[in-house]
Amino acid sequence: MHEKSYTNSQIVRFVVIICLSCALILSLLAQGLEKPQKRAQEVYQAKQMLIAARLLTPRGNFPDGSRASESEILDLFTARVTPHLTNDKGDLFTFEEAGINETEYRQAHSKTGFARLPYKLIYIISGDGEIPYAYVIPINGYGLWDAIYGYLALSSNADTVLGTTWYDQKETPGLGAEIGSAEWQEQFYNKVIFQKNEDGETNFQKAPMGFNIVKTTVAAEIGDRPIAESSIDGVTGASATMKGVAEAYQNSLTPYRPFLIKAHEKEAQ
Amino acid sequence: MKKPLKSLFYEQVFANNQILVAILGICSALAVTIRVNVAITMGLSVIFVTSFSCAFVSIIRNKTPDSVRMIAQLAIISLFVITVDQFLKAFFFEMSITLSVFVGLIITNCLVMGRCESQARHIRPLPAFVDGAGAATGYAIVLLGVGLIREFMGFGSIAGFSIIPDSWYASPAHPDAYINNNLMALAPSAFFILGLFIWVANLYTGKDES
Repeated sequence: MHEKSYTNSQIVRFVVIICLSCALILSLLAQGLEKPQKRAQEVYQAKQMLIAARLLTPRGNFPDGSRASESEILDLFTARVTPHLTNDKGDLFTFEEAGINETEYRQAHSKTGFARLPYKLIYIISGDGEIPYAYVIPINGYGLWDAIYGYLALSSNADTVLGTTWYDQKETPGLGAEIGSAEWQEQFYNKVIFQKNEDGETNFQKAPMGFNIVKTTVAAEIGDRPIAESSIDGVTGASATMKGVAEAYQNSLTPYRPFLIKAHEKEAQ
Repeated sequence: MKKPLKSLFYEQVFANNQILVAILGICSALAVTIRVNVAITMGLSVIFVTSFSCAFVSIIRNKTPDSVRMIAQLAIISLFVITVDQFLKAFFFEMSITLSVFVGLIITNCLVMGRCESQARHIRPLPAFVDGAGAATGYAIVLLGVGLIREFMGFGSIAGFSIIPDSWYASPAHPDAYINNNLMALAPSAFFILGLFIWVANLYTGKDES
């Protein structure tokens, strides 16, 4: 086989042309697919929130087992879920009442999270009466590789967990990525986010919030001490992810304390 | 060297199957064969990437300086892999979540680069396309085979549809009845199954390492 010889400048020109043409094609492609990708992401997020709130099964079906289509999921979402804002005093506002443009608010803060803002995002899922069926709090934090984003759904007493899901995480498949599996998420059902003290009492004003993720199993490490009600089995081999997840819950939930206490008292009446 | 396109294709699918004979591309065969749907998506993605990458590598074969040919091949392969990735994200979002990093890792799949480097840069675009498609089809068939066995034995279903009736399963009332083989859900099972496949392929082709 004969080998042509090339000068350095020819080689550089070849590489530049190859790289530029690949980059051009990819940017055109990314632009063309932006809309369907955004919609797919929205459907997926809505679905994950409904799964967290147990309005859909972990496989994305309706509780009676029938399949939920994309449009049915979006219909259910718009019918039941309304985004609200809450401040540091725990008052509740709609976007209009707070004078905030929802689209701009989301664009500005969806990467960094809503918990630290003066107006924090909270989703309310309507129930039969005046008391909502569930509250959904957006959770964000850092896993081993990248930022992680999810939802935590609380039942109407604003303390007991309905479920949790992660809609955006890039953890190690088979290890940290287990946080996305239905089996792992199922443990959160019926746990409480206001951690109980050793006497089994909940001090809503001071109790640490979030979950105590143990290295092995709750049964082995905690037994039946009251903290077990806020404890979760860790995933073996994913310590960094577990630490990130625990911090994400704690940091994302604590700023909502005033609101959750008010909601809890309202339900108790 | 001029072979009819058809035989070029079949030779790659069967006689020179990249996984079973050349033992290339088995890394992803371990990771994405847990369910049939995933294996099929991965197989189709690799067919698309390999055939078009080979064709394009072949198109620029007379313009490619030897010293940068692998970088050029990688750039072309990456182009098609990212295309597949973006396409999955737009139209098969949940599948793209399941496949996660493994679509991106097609770039480093030995099979794709192997075909570009050993064949595509020596032959014309159409034969190169057919050769790549054949190699990747052989890969996809093996993936499908491993996926069928793993999903059937590990989950009692095929492509998400339950095959083994619920009444066969062990329950508190009948603890001795059927249970799924959990090993099949783990990566090592793909090793065993692939090993069996390779053994059978060696019997058939008469290739004996010793």
